[in-house]
Amino acid sequence: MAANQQAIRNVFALIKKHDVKMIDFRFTDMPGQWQHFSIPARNLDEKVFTEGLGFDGSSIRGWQSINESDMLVFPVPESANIDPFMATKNLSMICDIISPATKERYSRDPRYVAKKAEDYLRSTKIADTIYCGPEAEFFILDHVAYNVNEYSSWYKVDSREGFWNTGTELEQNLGHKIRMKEGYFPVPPADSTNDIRNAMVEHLLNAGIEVETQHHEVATGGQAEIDYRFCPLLECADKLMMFKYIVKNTARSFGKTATFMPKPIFGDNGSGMHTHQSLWKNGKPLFAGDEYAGLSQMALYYIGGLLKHTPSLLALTNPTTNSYKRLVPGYEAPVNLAYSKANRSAAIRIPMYSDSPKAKRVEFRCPDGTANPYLAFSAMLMAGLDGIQNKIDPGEAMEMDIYHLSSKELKKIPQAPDNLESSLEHLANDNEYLKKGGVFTDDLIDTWINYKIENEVKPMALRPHPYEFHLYYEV
Amino acid sequence: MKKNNSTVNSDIQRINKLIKEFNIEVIDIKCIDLTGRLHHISLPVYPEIITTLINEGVGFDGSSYGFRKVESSDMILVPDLATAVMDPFREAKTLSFYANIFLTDDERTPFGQDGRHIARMAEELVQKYTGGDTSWWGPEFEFYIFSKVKYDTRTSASYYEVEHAEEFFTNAYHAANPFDVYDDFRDKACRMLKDFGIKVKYHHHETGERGQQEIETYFETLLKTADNIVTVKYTLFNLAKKNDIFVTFMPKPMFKQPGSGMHVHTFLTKNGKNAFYKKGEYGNVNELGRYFIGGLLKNGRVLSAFTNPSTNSYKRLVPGFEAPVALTYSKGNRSSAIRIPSYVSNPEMTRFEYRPPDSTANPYLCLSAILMAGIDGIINKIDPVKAGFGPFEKNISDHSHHEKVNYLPRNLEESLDALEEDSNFLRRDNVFSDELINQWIENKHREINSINTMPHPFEYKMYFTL
Repeated sequence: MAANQQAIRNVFALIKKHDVKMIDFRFTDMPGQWQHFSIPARNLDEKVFTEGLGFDGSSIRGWQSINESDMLVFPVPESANIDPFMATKNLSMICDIISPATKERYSRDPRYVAKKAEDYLRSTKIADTIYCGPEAEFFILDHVAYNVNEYSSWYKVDSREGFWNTGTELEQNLGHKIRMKEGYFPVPPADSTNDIRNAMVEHLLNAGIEVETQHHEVATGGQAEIDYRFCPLLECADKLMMFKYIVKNTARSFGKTATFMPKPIFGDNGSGMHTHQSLWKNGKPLFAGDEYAGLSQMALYYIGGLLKHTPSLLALTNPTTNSYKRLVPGYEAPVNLAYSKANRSAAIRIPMYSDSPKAKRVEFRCPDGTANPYLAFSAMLMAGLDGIQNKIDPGEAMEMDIYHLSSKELKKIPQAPDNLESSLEHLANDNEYLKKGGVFTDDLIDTWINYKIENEVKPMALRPHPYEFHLYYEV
Repeated sequence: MKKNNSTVNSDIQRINKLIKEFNIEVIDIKCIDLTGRLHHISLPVYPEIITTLINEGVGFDGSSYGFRKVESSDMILVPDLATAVMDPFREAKTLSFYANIFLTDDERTPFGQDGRHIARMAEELVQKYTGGDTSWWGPEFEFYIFSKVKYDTRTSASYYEVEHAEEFFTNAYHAANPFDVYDDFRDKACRMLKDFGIKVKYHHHETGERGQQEIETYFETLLKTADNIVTVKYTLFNLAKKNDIFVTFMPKPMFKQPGSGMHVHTFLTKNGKNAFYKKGEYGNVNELGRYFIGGLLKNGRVLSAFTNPSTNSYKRLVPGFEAPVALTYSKGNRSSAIRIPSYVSNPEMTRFEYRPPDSTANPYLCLSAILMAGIDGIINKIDPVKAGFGPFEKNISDHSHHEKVNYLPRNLEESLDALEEDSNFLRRDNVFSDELINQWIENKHREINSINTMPHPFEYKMYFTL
């Protein structure tokens, strides 16, 4: 662990400058949620960066089966950030996970997968950098309640701007609700969460995340999008974890609640995480060229790889049962595996906003915010690289609006899996491309599939859905 | 179905006599839609009403019943006079009939998607293909009684909640008073069923300790049994309404509680003698019976599209609740799709029990499909032993350890896929028409698609914070 001495000195400078009292150590569990624990700042010394700090890894989701539950965190000094939400002055750092027995990085640490993916990319000599730019959509809600037990199963969300509240008379109703699918993007007062999004942007900028735009998204009930500037894969995944943390905590500080669930409300658009990606070498973009939509042949092969592996890829980019409630026709969600320029109805879009070669990129529209970004970004890279290495032809681009094709024409277009179980089956059968360079291990893939089946797919299959009462109660 | 005029005339006379004798004010015509929900239309009595109904029927909109539209012709409901019965739930004196559906073409063609017509066609194949002449059916009705139920799904909320009046020990199978809260209700229901001409074998509290009940009825022929299933549900729903309680036949209304099935006992007879009996064979079931079993097990995955046609059906068909999961047969094992009851001592009652069906099935299509699968086994001499379907006495609920064994589909989509792939045994002699099967698949996919776009409350638990 050759930690950057300058960055370590900077951590201590920050602690002094901001009179930091607590140090927070953060890492990502298997399903993709930030975990943390804290120590008093006075206990932080330079040895923490070289010898790590111990914690019990057996309670972390997806890591339970390890024999040695003692694990070490090694904080990454470059990730130091003054936390804007904690009452006590707090400096947080993202950590790598090390197994104390072997002193090696833990193979189920998602961050390690992303590191290996970037290393592998360099080793192929195809490129030295992949830039990722995720657009994680989310909802800002006033209220959420849910419970599932033997006798009942329910959820209720609320938002003052929700179209379902046009007739609410319990309190003063000020109107200006957003109609279903018409949230993109009227000004306030219809846009009721603008101030919250601005506060999010401020926090994001302070955390070193270069925000490009913020806006209300299509769905009623406070759907939002904040985009930040593309950056290399591992850094981008780190930033996404911080992004989600800031979004959720800023909403909370306004007395609201934010969620990245792909489909929290029925009947309106879900939240995706379109991910822009491009390969670079020696500071030069490799995806610009003279082929379709100003792409290079390499970019087309990258698309070929993405499309070929989409069914298994989805097990990592769309890894929840709820993901597939977004991936249905009629809500601008990509269900057809095709590519196109500017056409938002294809799984892969080539943005045409700019003529600059540096802006030339591929947008994979399937992912959503429930993905573990380290695993999802790495998997997309590996699929694209497989396309380049094997010269996988993506076929003809789709020019027409896929949503308006006849059913006969539609049947010719391959479809994304329509449920999590199906994606996991595809992953079980199609994962060689992920294992190149040891980026994903068999252990990680098996654990992922098993975790998702046992903890999510099977429990869901046992629980009645409220709508089944509508369909079948009186049959 | 064509009766000669004199039979029809004597039927009409008999009904007219009933109308006069009981001062009937209303004729009620009942018919289930494709899904299995019961509809009715009422006609105040006027002179010669029965003759008019037989000649002209009552026009109706078939697409509202879930049927595929027939372009060439309108459809009419014509009362089946053999089903006449007093409806005890109407204030006015009401004589009730189940209807047959006909097209209004010159030939008065029976409508191919009418479940009762399909049931009759299926019954006729017993004689043609099996060596027997009649099929007999004994359904067991499991259901829950709740003291209260509410549910809704809309943009910002989705919920169901049930309440029950029972609180007691685990495994309420045959629970006695004071814990058996609804035995009087079941008594009342059975009294009414008797008036409907339905013989009840017994009724009892079922395993589910939060209001699960069972009523088991005696054997009848296929069409009669399917009519009876409709009547039993109509009776229980309406009696529950009068008693301010709620009855549901949903296969799995509550997580972690046993589901409700509709096990069906069946056998064939020839000249009044049981055609499945042979002393000394496994379960005293002879070769004919074994082939029937073989046909059911071979076609079980396809069959489930009609025997278990709800997304909710598959929440019942899971290990751990005595529900069948494996397409095997056995004497004692309740995870097998087919059980040969070993308590049967009367050779004339030799039979087996097909355990997958549930009451969300359209009973006409459900029983007809089971019969068609059995007939397929007989025609093709499908020996369940040679095919590796059993007999198995051990529990085979675990999918992973018995790769040779076929399992029931895990969800409705898999069932419909199976039906789409292979429906030959159903289409034999055009009993199940292409139109019916296609319409069924289309309707059921609509149910799946609706659910597939709706968040599940459990997903909030799993994913809201992710």
